[in-house]
Amino acid sequence: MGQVWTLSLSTLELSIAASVIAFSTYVAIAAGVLSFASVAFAAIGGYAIAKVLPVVPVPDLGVPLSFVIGAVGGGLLAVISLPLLRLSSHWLALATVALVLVVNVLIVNLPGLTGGTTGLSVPLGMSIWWALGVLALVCLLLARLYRSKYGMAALAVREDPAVAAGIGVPVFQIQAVALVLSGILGGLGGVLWAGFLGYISSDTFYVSLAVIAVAAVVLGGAYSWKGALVGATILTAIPTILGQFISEGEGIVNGMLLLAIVLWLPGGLIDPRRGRRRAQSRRHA
Amino acid sequence: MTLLLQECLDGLALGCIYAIFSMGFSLVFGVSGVLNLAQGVYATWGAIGAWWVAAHAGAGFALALIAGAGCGAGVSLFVDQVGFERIRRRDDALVGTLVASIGLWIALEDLASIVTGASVLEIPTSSLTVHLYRFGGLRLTTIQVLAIGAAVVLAGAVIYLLRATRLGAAIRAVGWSRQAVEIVGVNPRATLCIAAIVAGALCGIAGVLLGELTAISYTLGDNLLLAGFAAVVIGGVGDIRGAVLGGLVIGVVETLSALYISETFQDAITFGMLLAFLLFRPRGLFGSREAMRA
Repeated sequence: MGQVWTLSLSTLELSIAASVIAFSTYVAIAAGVLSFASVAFAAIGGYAIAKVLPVVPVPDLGVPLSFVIGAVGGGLLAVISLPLLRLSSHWLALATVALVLVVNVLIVNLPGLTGGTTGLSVPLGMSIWWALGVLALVCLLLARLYRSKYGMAALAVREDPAVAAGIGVPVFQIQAVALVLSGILGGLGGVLWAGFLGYISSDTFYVSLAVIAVAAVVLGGAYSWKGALVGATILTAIPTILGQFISEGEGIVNGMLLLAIVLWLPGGLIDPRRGRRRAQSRRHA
Repeated sequence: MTLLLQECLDGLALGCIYAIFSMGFSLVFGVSGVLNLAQGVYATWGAIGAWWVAAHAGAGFALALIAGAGCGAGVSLFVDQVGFERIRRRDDALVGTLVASIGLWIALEDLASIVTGASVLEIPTSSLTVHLYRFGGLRLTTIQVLAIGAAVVLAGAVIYLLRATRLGAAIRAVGWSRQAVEIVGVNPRATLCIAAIVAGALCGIAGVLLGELTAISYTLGDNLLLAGFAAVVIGGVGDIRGAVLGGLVIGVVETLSALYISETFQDAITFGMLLAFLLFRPRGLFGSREAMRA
């Protein structure tokens, strides 16, 4: 029983961290920027906590300080990458992939700072209460944000940037805000992720986590921020559950699940438009 | 001086393999507009196919190469029809096909790691006698000669196919508009299938050659995918010449920067070039204005 409890607690912790990283991706996607860069932002948060906690041994001080540094650092990296917004859809997505690769090369090749491929251990200090607090705050923020004017403008930009620009929506500003917010959330998520893993290396914030972030948004539903929460929770829980039954082939299950969602449930699990569409088709019938 | 020339030559041979792969990448991206991350896996499976034929059936290198091309083409056709065909008919196809390709990439790579036992495989040396050709202080191995030869022949063949045949015209047209192609009596689905097979075969061949040059592991395709990405961006999308040139540039730059700048920062230079091109010349060296918009 004790073992099951430990297992589900660590799954809960990691799924909260993954949710915040997935929120970071969602915020970008919601403004029409298909971005893989969340994981690059998260890397800054991850290395922030790994560096801060040994220096500030009191967790009550060290953890919030890491959150602040991670959020600011992630936001700054997002500001640096703002010029990428000049590119349009496909190219922008490609460029964010390139950003992840460049950050990874830096992590690998600056072992003095990052521990390189050997990695760094993150001291204990992160607790589930910090995670729940951050998650609640972020949820509150997103719930308000997408009911605000900004949310409406972001939806317009996402559906058709040209039309949005035509009716006076400042497309670049909307996307810039989205990317910077994505950077901040990514940094926070990275602090949580590293804090709960207890160990980070050059492989931690790399392609597989980037894929999980985007996949969580698509799986949960790309038209509601709640989707990212659901998607990230499911994708983090699956390996833990599967790991008890099979020793290999986890990637096959994950990959096929992703494919099945895109093929048969394109709106994701939480799709606010599904009900509306159904009502519409009933009216037409 | 000789060393520099030798390094350029080595880089060129590696670049030829990248060029073959990038042609496949560019073909799929240009024709069906799919940002296909599963493409590296075609090369992995091509290499595994060639290894299997050479190790278990004792086939020679030519047969192994054909088997690799066949394997790549088969996987590519499967991915295209299972993963992309349904989604391409929808409006918002970019994210859908991208995520589908990610799913297939993860699944097929995991399958490859199970099949290979996550270990490094070598194509048996009996299948190919390796000579060292020397001329004027420079040397080339048989595999490097084969890579350069294959790149020249395949680039010629693909450019001929796309520019001078009816099938090539159909492939280019279907990338433009599916409906329009149907009106003039071309079957778009069959055309897309053929494009997928050609692209898969190219990737498979690149995989076999890279596997022969280095070694085969289940992550072989990932390196090719990254190089292919960079090559297509540098060369320009929608132009096969651009993909070839981009591949050669990446190969030479990678080899030279490993020697003269820093082996550890080799990748950083490649990706830095990728980012620089995206920012300052997004249509690449050859790309048209249309491709820039896309």
